[in-house]
Amino acid sequence: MKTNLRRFRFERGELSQQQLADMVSVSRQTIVSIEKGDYAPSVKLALLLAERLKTTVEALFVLEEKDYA
Amino acid sequence: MLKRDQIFWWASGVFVAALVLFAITQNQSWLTLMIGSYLLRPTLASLGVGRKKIDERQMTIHYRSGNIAFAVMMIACVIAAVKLEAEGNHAFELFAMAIVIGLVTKALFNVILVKDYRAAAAKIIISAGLLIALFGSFDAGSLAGRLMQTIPGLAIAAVGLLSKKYPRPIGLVIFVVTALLLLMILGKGITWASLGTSGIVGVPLILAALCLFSRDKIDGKSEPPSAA
Repeated sequence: MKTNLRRFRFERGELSQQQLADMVSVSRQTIVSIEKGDYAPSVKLALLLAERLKTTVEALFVLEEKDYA
Repeated sequence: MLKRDQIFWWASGVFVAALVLFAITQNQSWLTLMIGSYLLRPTLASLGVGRKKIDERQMTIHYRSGNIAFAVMMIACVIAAVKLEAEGNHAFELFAMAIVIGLVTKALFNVILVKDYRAAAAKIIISAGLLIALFGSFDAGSLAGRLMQTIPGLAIAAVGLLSKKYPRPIGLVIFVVTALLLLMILGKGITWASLGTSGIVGVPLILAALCLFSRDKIDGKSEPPSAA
């Protein structure tokens, strides 16, 4: 799964990872892991992230070819 | 970074209490309280308490590390039990009991956390019945004796099958049967072994009986809700 979280974070006022983490009540390490593609967030967290970054979940997270295998 | 929330202060309190009690009594057993302070947060979160105080990725990590730790602990207990038994030391029974308690707890929560309580109850009663039949058959010498010893367990398993159809009446029956079983086990004398056995037999059956009185949290409807 490709994630555009980092791009949206910068586009929305250059938020730091810690600021975004505080906005959705998770640790900074969780934001780091999501941006690196190491952790797939729950539906609830994905929706919260999309809402805080004023975008959609589909824009934040994009399925890749290997995800269909 | 440490989260200084309510759970943090409770865990710190337990940790300090362990140190103070050890300092006062010089009994190292008090230091085992430190395990409680270390495991407080993940345990509470697993039980659904203070879940908002832990982030979901950390929770996933706790689940995974917990499963690995459980498997390692079981292997360590088995090795210790086999070693003690080979030496003729009866303390191996304590390790065997720890293994059974661990496995029973995992199996119980595996079915209860699904929240399909009545199906869970049937599974628990049938499993408990079959295990009672199996272990009961080990005690008797002759084949006929062994077969006789399996009857109470098989009867419980049969009651478990019936619980799917008559949950509440069977719930009552299970309460009564559990009380009789506990009287039988503890009637032989209150020892660590009898207390352990009553816990292993009694707790799952009482939980199952309670499950039979609960409403299922999973609803079987497959149709989508109608649009308002």
